[in-house]
Amino acid sequence: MLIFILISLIGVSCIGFIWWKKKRRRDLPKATTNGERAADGRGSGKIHEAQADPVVATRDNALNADFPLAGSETVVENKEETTELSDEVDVPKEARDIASVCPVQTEPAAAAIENDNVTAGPSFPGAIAGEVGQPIPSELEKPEEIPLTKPQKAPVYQPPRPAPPVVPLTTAKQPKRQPFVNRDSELHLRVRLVFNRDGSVRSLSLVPDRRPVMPAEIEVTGTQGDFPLTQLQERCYQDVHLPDIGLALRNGVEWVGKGATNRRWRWVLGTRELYVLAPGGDVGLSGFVSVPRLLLGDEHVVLSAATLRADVLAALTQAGCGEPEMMDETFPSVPAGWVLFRRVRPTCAVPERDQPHILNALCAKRDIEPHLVGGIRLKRRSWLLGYPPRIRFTGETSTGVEVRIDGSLADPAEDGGFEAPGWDNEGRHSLWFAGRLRKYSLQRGPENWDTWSAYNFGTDAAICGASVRPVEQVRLRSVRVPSQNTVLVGPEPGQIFRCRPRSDLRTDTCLAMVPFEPVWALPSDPMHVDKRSVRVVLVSGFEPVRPTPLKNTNRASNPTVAAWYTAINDAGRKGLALATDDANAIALWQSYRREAKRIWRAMR
Amino acid sequence: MKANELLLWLSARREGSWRQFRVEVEELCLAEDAEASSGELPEEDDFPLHQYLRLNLERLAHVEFFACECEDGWRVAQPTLAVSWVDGGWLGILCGARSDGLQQRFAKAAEAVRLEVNEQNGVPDVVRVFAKEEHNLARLSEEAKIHFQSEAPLAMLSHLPATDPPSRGSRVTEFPQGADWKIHEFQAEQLGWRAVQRHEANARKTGLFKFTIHFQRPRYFIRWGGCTHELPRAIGLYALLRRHRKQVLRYDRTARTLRLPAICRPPILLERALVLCSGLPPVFNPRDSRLTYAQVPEDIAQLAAQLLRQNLA
Repeated sequence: MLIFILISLIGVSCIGFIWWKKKRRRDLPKATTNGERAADGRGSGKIHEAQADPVVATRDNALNADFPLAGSETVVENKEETTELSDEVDVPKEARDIASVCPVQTEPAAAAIENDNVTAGPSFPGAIAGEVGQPIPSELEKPEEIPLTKPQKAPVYQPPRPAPPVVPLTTAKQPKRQPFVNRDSELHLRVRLVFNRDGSVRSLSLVPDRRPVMPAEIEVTGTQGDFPLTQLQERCYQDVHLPDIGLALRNGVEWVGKGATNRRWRWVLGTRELYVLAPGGDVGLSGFVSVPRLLLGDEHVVLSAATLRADVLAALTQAGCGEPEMMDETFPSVPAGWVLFRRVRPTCAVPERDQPHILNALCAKRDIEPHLVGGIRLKRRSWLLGYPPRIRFTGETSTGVEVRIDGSLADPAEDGGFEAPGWDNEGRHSLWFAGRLRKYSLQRGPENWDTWSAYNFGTDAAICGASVRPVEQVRLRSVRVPSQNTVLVGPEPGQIFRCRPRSDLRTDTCLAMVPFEPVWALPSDPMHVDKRSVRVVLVSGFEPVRPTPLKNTNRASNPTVAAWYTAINDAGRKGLALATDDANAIALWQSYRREAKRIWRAMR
Repeated sequence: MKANELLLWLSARREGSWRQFRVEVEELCLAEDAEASSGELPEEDDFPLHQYLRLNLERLAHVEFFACECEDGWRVAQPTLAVSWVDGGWLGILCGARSDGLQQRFAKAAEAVRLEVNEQNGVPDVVRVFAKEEHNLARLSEEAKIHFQSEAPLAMLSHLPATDPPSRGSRVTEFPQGADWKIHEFQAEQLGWRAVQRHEANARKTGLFKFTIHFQRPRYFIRWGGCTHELPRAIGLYALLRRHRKQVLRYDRTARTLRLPAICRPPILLERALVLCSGLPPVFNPRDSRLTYAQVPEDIAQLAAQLLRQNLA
């Protein structure tokens, strides 16, 4: 009896435990599963796809599909950047430090993002961690459409703050699963500056980010009104040129766009008075594009409010930038109230301030980052042989960073690009630096190109490039002949071709495409032409007639031969003169006439 | 010269989408190279750099855009030596795809003839060869393993349709619907575009209209005898000029140059035939907004004028 009761108790306990586990799993948000998968970085590209898919905070997948989570690129950037992952994803480097360009991030989020490193192990991305503890709005549990309203005021920019120390994981505990908060997907707006050749400002614009799931064209509404965005690259839309860019940069920008399937996206540029721009080659844009902070060793442009001029100058001096070139609003295209600092190249790493401060953006990043720029790129990491990229590094390189290419020590060339023996040979190469590895390859381009037809207007030829080829793949020769002489005869009896000049054009010459090498151009009806003006034209070189024995003298069986001798005989009977007085040509014509007469007699 | 690198990239990729082309133009930082050459087409304020480069690549017969087998983008043409007669001999122009290997082969094969390489802004290097006899150039193309096109300008013009208005059998269509379309009408006398309203366009019996909307390329429609037909810009423009008896072509027999207003740019293939007479793109004069095509023989100019239904002045 006692044993029976004991067994019953054990069974009930087990059932209760299983039920409790199931209940717990059901109550947890599904996003945590995705986030964990993303955080441990399994799979290239697939991670990004997972992030692009609904990263839910509630049980309703359909609703959450409308709000792909912002900061997914930050998740990707937590990974080792030199693996294939970054190749697949091709995330701009400033996506790391999302706080400085996406002002909506909260402080904990910014801290967590700046803390990103490879060895931290599975951890939540900063953007997500920033929302820890925030309740899930109850209205988001219902799949109702949220109306698209014009944003009235841009959020405030959160300046960069120092990164807290990394606490290594010492236990094997699973991290706490935090619920996600559903909100609009927040995308970056980069500031882009392009100079003219003479150094003046050509354009200052905003470049909206794009995700792969977003449409190629989208209408947005924002603080500057309504306008369309058109895709420029995989990761960004075309520049937007605002009439008062200075005001927009100072007051911030917020745009909201809506796709065809009711998905919404939001672009945000926080109010701020300082922008740091670096060469946009890494993101495939010409000119300079905004980045979170200065990079040691790289050339930058700094755009600041005029009120910060002295502070910025002091900070740049401290960073070892020398004397940068300054352009204020008196220069064309520089916005009113702003100052442009050009040729800013930091050489010293400056420690950040303890508190968040806008000038922390001028504290150059120490991390060593490779940049493969220039050359002719065919694919992500593949360049055309003979046109390799220049391999440069930014970050703390003054202490001497060892760079190896294919195992050989690489040295910087005059332009700062690293080279090693065989670095630009055909094939795959490995670039090793500061304990990291990156690959690139050089491949040979094609040397043969297909023949194809681009245009065909219903004539017997197709046009492609500079070539005009017959449609029927027969080897034809182009011959220019007078418009009056449309019958072409060759050296062999039977070689005769009649051109069809265009009836809608009146020209002195026309071009014929003939399947043999023509010798004479004759009028189509020699017996009824004016022999004072019409001539027999020698088309090509002095090709003698090739008499051929006639196997069959039946005229009906040899129509082309009959046409050949008829054309020559008629021109002779009419007494048409040659277009040239050359004695050899006259002798040649007589030989053709003799052969034509012989064949005529044989077939008569 | 970044335009050379662009052609190398296009040749290495063989074909691609329009977006890929634009991205590559951005990556190669071609804005600086073409800065001095911009401003050729004043009739449209928003004629961006990538369109200008596309136009030059088409004119010089290197790449085809939006043609058969590349309707959504571009495809590089096969390498061709386009040959035509000039005073004193034969001129050959290297067109189509290009690679380092091909250029080396070509230079080696051209040792027996005169080789000339011209650098131009916003255009790949123009490679020209001169020989007394045509067969020398034919042999050169055989050694370089490229196609030989004799009488290239004449061959091309011979197979082009004339810029005639739509015939009775042409398909009739309607103006696109929607309030977002911006409509402009071409003024034949003033040689310019004027913004009009839809009801004005509908009321016209004869006229050429341009419909533009964001995200799409402009569409051109001609009203002819009360019917509406969609057709390429240049065809409609010259059909309208003929109706108004407006002659815009000017030919200088001494200098052998053909001039016309930039806004009346001819169809791309006809323009290509004119460019292949010299291998050099037309020169734009901002003072009178005219394009000048150099070294155009009179018979070619006459044929081009006939295709455009114009008289040579």
